[in-house]
Amino acid sequence: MKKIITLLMLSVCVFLAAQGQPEQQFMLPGDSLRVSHNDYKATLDRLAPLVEKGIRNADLYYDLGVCHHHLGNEGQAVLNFLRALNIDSSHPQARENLVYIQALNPNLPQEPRQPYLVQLFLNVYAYFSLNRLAVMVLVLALLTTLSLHLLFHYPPERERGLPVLLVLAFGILLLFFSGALAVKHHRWLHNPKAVVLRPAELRTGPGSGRMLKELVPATTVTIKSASGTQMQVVLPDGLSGWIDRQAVEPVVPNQNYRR
Amino acid sequence: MVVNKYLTVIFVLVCCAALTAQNVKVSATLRDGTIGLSDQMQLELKLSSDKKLDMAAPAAPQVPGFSYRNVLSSTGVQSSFINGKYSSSHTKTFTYIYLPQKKGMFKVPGFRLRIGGKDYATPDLSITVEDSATTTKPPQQYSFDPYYDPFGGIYPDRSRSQGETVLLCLPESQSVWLGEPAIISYYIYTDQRMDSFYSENENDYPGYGKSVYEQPQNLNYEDVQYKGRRFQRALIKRSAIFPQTTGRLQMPTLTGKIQFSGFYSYMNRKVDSSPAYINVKPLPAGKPAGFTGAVGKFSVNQVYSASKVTLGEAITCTVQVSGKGNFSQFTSPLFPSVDKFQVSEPSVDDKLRNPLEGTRHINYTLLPRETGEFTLPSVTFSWFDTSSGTYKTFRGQPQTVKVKQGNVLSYFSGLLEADAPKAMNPLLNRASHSDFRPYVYRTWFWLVLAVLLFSLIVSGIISHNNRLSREDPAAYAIKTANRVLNKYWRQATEAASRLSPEFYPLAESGLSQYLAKKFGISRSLGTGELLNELWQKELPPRLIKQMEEFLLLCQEARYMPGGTEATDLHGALLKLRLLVQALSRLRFGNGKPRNRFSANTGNSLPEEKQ
Repeated sequence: MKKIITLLMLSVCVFLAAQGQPEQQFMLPGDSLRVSHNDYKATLDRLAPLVEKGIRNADLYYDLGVCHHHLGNEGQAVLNFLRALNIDSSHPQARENLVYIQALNPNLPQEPRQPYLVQLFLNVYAYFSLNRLAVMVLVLALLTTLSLHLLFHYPPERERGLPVLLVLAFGILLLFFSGALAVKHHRWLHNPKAVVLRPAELRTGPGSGRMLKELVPATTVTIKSASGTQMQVVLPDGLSGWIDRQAVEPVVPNQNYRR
Repeated sequence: MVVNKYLTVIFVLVCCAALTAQNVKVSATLRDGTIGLSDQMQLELKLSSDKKLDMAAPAAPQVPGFSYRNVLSSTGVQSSFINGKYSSSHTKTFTYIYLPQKKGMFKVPGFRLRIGGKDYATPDLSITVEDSATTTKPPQQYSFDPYYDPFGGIYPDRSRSQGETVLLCLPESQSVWLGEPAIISYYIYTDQRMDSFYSENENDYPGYGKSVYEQPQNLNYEDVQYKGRRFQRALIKRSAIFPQTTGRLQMPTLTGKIQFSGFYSYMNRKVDSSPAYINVKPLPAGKPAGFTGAVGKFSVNQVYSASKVTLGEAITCTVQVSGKGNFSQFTSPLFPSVDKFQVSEPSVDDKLRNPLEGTRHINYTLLPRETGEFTLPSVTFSWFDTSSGTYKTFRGQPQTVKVKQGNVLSYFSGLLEADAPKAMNPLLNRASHSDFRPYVYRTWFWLVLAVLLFSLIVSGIISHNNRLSREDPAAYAIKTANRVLNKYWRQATEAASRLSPEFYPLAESGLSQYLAKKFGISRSLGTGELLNELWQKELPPRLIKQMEEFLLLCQEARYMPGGTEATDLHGALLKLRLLVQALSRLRFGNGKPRNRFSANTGNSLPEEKQ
């Protein structure tokens, strides 16, 4: 038994040491690693190849969004900020910039104002990004395990109320955060949000439906389904319709949408 | 004990009564101690309290030698702020007017009052009435007394129906700056016997705003010279005028009705105030950036409430504007924008003695958003100083504020940040961008979970064994003995498969340890003693016999010369197997070993297969 435990501990140390090593870094070309504040075009040209290589990084998407905004591509800016938030939902600068763009473009469809408690919950949920949730799950798993240890080895002559309460409390929290982690992970892989990149018409049906609304670039939509060259989307204000697939870019590309 | 309780109750009641009691002071005085036959006796009853006095005039005392005429009342409130504490004093004065009937010395009885359930009394007073007046005329008279003639001593021979009465509007200053408040007074000038004045209407003209500055309750006359003649005048009203345009502005005109009393009836006469004008000068050029319309004579200072706060606590910046000016006309300056702080709209708290004079507190609430040391800017307040005719600007001192972390909850501050950003956040300029891989995709994440799960399993097994040893020690002994037996059985089998002579000591050791664990038989006993112990434990005789044979076989193999070669290792292994099987099936019941085969039959053990 001792040997097994020793081996396990050694394995854990080896893995942790391996995780501590620096990961593969994708450096920007050029002598200086610092991007220019003023020349957003040059910065964009230097950052865009990283995305094409398949790098997914919240700060990278954020910087791209800032560059696009300053270059007048509001749709791309919103798309990149949403991608940054998809990776790190607690990215404060990306969130603020989205709010800022929304304030600059009052003609964009507005989301209905949520009740305070809903806002509170959404903010807390956003604060716990995917990795923060994972850490919370580990911490709660540790606390639940310790509580179970306490319960297992609690003196039989004493009342077991305290360890049972601890196990229940930490267990429920562990289940809750595990569920949230699963949901967030699923959303990270299958985020249904998309951004309108060029002016498009929202129609009642795919192809030749009645026009409901003209959508401006930077409008955020939620993809419900896709059919050929058309996509069924829902606007933040709840209006639903069909839009040309080429006009929108999903936050998570290469997804298979339900037909 | 009972007395103590009563004393305590009484003490508490007294304290409560003292706290809630109205602190009233009562005094009675005579305006003059000696008067003439043609004078009035004025008896003043003055009541002062820290609470509002709401009471009717007490009954006039009966004074021998005098006839009672009238009673007048007046109220006053004096408010003060001392060391930030507000206090007020309410005064009520009743003036009883008597006319003397004859000469002599008279006693004026004191008042007996009951206010708030408490009795008050004033001492008796004395007054002397002589033939002629020995005192000067009082500076203020009351025209409410229908029998009183304020001009009796001045114009003793005049006719009551003749004379002149005019209403004049008198500005304090003929020329003011735009926004500078101007005070205008309405006086009634008269040389007639006038009983009362009623304000009926006030006509306004464009170009100004106004508010009441002073509104006397009584007509208090004073001697003045007007048009080369001697007149009596009384203030009707004072207004504060706030000019809104430049040029010549006409002041509001007041219309009223004067009542004269004749022998048998009253006479009324309508009167309009004379037109009055003021010149309003424009403010000079060069208004400061922070000028919000304040015009007057001010002194300004600025105070920050704290220099050290915790996150979540607010800091108040107070700008105090004191002096005389158009308080109702200017707005509060905005607080300079300050990073890392949320700044409220200014709130105004006025402590004004009248519409023009007093102190204004402009409060700004600043809420820190982050911890650290910050320098808060000073507030700028600009005004036009009417005495010097120039703009003046006050700039306070910047304040260094240290914001420290408050409590655990403050770590989550900003979670509900709702303020819209004022600008796009800048680039982050990361040196490198690593590909995002969630922690759930890392090996260590699942390894940690596996370790935790494994520790739970181990802990569960240990806990189960502990519980078993505690609740059923016999079952636990069997369990551990069987474990030992199996362990040695495996080792012995392995040795036998190698045809190793280690088989015999392993088998012997395993058996002795098993018996020690299961039956508590010492491992140091010889074979004979061991078998005796087993007999005493009431083990099946066949099993004891089989064990004896096996132990002898082991000893032969171990200690006889050439014993190893002489013994059949596979046969010995077979014997051991049968022995182990028989021991494994052995169960305990009521503290005695119980074979699932009958112990008495002697045929319970499996037969050795040759």
